[in-house]
Amino acid sequence: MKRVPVTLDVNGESHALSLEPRRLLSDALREECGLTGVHVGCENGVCGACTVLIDGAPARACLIFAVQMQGHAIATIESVARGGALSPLQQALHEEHGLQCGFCTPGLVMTMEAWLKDNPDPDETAIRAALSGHLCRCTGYQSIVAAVKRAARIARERA
Amino acid sequence: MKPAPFAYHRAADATDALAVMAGASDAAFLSGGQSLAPMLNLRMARPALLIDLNDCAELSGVTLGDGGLRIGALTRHHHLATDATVRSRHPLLAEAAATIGSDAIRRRGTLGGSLAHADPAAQLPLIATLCGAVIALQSARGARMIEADDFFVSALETAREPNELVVAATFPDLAPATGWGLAQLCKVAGDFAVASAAATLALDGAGAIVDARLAVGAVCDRPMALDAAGLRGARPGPDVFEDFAMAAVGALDIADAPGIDADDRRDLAAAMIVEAMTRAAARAGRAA
Repeated sequence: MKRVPVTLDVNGESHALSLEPRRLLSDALREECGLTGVHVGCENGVCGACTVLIDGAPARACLIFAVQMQGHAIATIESVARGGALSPLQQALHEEHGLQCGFCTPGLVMTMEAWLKDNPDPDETAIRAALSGHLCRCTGYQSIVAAVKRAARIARERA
Repeated sequence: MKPAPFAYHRAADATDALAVMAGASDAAFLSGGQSLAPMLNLRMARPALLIDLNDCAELSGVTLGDGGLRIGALTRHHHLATDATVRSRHPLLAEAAATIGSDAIRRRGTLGGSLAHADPAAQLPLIATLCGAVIALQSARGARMIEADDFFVSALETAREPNELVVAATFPDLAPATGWGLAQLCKVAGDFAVASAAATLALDGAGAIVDARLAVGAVCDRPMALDAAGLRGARPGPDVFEDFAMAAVGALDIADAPGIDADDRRDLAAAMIVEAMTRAAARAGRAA
């Protein structure tokens, strides 16, 4: 199938690419843009590992074709730490041992970075519901929930 | 897995999408892609051409019309779940949308896509069936309207012709003081339900049922509206609900499914019906 030109705006950088329309956004980000923090698990939208932000809202990169993203702003995990400084959520995941193998972490960080902006003071039930779109096979989720709580507290203290 | 090759057209508007569809032999509309993309990735669907609807702004949005909410096909689940108009005029629809998948899925998935995909366990087809929503279809040759109960034919099968686009659905207003309830049994929050039910109940001044609507999802090959006329005049309560639920599931064609036999599916459907009616009665009681 013929390739088509696509310009992806990722983490504020422009990537001029030539891609087959069937190329998944997750694969284009990893293999064309070199952003391997986008993890690919199920390619069915179930596991959440490939979650990125599109125009600020979380989306599964495996359920979008790169060709669709012309004119949209994409943010991946590589954009979250600023100047090498971890975000409050990343720092809290570190401190609470919210990851072991780290495969699910980039996707859930992207979801929760966006979610915490809309939900600055969440209770545990709400945090668990928001995390339900992300499969973690290491932690049992307790330490992730604790990290999200801590991140919300840090962000409120800074505000 | 990766999708089979396809050509791609980013439609500027619905007219463009329908014109391209009219000239294509093996094309599919791409809306939110939250069901179609997995099917493409698994190669369960292999269209030669995808017509992307995501720029068709006129297909998106909620309008208050005579007797109902007209909701554009490209309206995202997140919008249905959070929009003030939907939440006040049709809280059952908003609540149902809020339970679909996860945040990332709701931000992309659309009403039209969910209706056209017609998963028997999906929330929006269930609510459309319960409420008698009217689905607007359009092709390059014309437009037609069809009631949800006639639209859903079987699992992943609807009355939509391949060249027709779902452009909107109109959900009739709930009558004043109507209570509503949604019950879903999901193994994990956000999964498709194993059994689901939705109900609306209206009571008279003496607390007797004057109008009841029931529908069940996930246990048949499409969402099923139940005949609830026999509930009129009854007083809401556990015995009435349980008798109704047992009779209703006994009349449904429920088959064994992988990992669950028909008897268990019937029991779970009955439990969801009782739960949905209980929630509806509690809300109707407060509203009256």
